[in-house]
Amino acid sequence: MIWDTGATNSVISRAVIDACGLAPTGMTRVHGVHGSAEAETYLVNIALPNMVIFSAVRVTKGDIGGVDVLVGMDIISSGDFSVTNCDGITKFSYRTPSIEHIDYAEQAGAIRAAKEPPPNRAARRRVKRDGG
Amino acid sequence: MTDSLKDEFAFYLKHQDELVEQYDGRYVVIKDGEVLDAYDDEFTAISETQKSHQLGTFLVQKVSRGTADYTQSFHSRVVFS
Repeated sequence: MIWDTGATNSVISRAVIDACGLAPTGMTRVHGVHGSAEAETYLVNIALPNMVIFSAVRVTKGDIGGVDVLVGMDIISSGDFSVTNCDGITKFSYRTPSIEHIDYAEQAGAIRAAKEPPPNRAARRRVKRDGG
Repeated sequence: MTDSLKDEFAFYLKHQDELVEQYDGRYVVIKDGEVLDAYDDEFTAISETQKSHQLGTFLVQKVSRGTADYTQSFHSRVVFS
């Protein structure tokens, strides 16, 4: 399974279609790095490893280079998706529904503020006098 | 490629303007060059139609202006044929 933020929609391979005995229910125009084409679409349920199930998802048939399923922004954008690299280890995580925004710039500001040394006596007097 | 659905998709594209006038925002079922019915959602359109028509022989398409409802973009190495 591939998670692809560069894909507007999710894709399944012919192998999945054959294994599940799926029949097409629609068609779409696809624009990719190899040009444009028309492709069949299928209505499927997708279960993620964390047992989150998306029902009646319209997916498109494509060759994903030996991969069975490509998860596109139609699914990714319905939840929170993150990629982190702490200690040189790349991890991604996903949850749905979305719970909160992550603002790393805001977090960095809070960390910097926490690291600043406390004001000395003169500065504390100044703040008290000026009412700041 | 299922030629049947390719023909039905071409039918939708050819008659999109007229279909928008009549079914804007709904899901039409197209088979053999005609609209069989229209529904409020895709799942119902498929489940109702497959009671009388074999799955894979009819096309379900959301009716709307423009190309957004039948266009997808991939900036990765997916190949479509």
